[in-house]
Amino acid sequence: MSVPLLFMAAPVAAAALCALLYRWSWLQSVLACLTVLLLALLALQIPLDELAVVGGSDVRLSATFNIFGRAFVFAVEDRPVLIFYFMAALPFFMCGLDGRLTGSFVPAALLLLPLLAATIFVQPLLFAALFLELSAALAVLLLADGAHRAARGALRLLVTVTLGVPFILLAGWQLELAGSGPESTQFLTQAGWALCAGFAILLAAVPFHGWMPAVGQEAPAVAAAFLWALFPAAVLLFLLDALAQFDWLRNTELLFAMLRIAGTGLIVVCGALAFAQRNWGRLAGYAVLVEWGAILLAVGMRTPAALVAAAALLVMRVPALAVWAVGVGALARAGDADLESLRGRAHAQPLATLAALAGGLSLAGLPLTAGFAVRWTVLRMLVADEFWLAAALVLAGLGVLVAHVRLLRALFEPAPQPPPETEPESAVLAGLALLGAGAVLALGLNPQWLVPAATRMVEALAGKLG
Amino acid sequence: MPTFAELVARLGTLAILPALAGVGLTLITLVLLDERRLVIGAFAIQSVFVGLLHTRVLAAQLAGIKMLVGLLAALVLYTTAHQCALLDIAAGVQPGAGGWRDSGVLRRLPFRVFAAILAMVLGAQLYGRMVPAVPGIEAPVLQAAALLVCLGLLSVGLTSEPLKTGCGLLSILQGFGIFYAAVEPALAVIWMMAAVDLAVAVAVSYLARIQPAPELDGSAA
Repeated sequence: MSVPLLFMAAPVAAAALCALLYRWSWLQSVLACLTVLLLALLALQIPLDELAVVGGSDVRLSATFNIFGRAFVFAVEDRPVLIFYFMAALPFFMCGLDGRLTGSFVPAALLLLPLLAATIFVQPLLFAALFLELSAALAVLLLADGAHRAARGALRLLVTVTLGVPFILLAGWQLELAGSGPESTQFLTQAGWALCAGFAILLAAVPFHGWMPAVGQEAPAVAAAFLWALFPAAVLLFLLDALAQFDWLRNTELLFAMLRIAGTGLIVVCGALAFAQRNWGRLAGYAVLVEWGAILLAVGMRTPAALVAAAALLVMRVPALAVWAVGVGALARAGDADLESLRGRAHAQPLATLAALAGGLSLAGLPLTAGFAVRWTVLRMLVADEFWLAAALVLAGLGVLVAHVRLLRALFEPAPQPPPETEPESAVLAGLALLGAGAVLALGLNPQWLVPAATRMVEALAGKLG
Repeated sequence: MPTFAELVARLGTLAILPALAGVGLTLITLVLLDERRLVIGAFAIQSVFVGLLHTRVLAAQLAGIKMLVGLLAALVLYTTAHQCALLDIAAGVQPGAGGWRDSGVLRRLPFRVFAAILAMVLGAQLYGRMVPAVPGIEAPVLQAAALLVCLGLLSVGLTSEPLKTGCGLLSILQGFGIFYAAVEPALAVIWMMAAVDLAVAVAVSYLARIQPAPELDGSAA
């Protein structure tokens, strides 16, 4: 039995089953939660290239799966990344336990997981770009449905990824040429430029960042948050995998300069734009981009400690995004998530408000929340080398915070007369909101619960940088 | 009776220059017009020409597969456009809006012609860069690839309508596909690129179908 095939086929099978359960969204969520938990456990424990007893017979668990001359290889150092993909999906599937997700979210999200897993399995590595393109096409099914018909954000994502992928493939071709001729330095330089261009586009550097806020405004909150948590992470982990694999790439100053410039651009531009936002979806999109800028800056520092901090930021924002999605998903069910339609809603939906605020403020990097602890570490690293960048990051966080305060004031205003129709908060929603908000606060106080897992994701590369 | 692959190979041998001209014409149609079914029809014809051009860089069977994938993508887009047209009629939109007789299209025509000329100049520059990279490939094949990428990009930039954006994206992928097939003719890559083409076609069709109201590019330049 091929282990990579198992990890790619099992979510597809679960997605098919969930599609059959279209009418029972809570049951879809339960099935998806069980699937990702089981797969995460398997990713942690499954022996590679050994005999195992399955159902009373000996089965050889092969780490490789070959098709059309290309290999999918599950290496030991891929385990933490695979666990991250499955565990990061878990809280978003939990959001559907109160039965209010649309029937297509769970199957489409489950189908996205094997494509993301393929980006770490496929050899040669740079073909992962094609799986990112397929992921973007599939993500369209998540981002638009009968209740969310605007297509701008999904279309922008598709266009952005389609523009970025050819550069990565061209870099792969240049790398092949570099291995076969005497002019290898020239080919490596060209490959470096192509990778920089491709990753700058795929990593949503300004001006290719537009899909994130657009998706936040138009898509269901859970789908937007799911994509924000997983898709950019997959691109970054693909880049880190490439850095770990190619020595010449680690020594390419251009790539790290690109990451620092991209990070700075995102922090400055998106911090300023976040300040002016009056829609919670767009605001969250910009907040995610500011944090994304911090992550890119940290990777661009090219030190093991900064790399670990970047991975920790990547992991820490998952619970914040999930709890934000629980809250805004409930608040925006009756309409838009803009300032006018949210006015006075905290009185009718206090727990959804609590969840949305906990997630939003964590994305803003407020002290005592999950988003603060690691961002503080990045700030301390930046202050030592580039004070103005640290100041820009603080100001960008303040921009996000001020916009949240504006939303907060609107939420707690007296309810308009006649009050808008809102469904009462279910016990499941209340439980999810309290659990999520509690998790965000607990992780703010105890970041060490998740930081070791994040460290393991980048252990191989950190060792080589060190 | 010749097989499909033999037919594609023979046509590819005979018609490389007409294929280049055909690609140029279909791309100009894609840039200048907005009417969905006209644009998709042009894209379907373009897929045939692109398939013929592929015979110069790939085995005839694989070039045939490329052609079929392009036609399949066009079929997916056309079916959606047809459904959208029925919805448009139900919503009171006059049939044929966005075609060559539409006043909005005529108003935007001078700008689009100018932009298309600029994109073709850019294509010529790109072609100049491609020639030394793949010396064995005939000039019309690379010229077509450069035109597809540049005019496809322009087409994506000029619209926010999903189906037309999809045609633009698929044109970019076709142009890149011709070039990439010349440097990486592996079967796995060809299948993956085919899967990507179809996935993009399905994705934009889904978006077009789900959009609430008929939307022509009145605001686009």
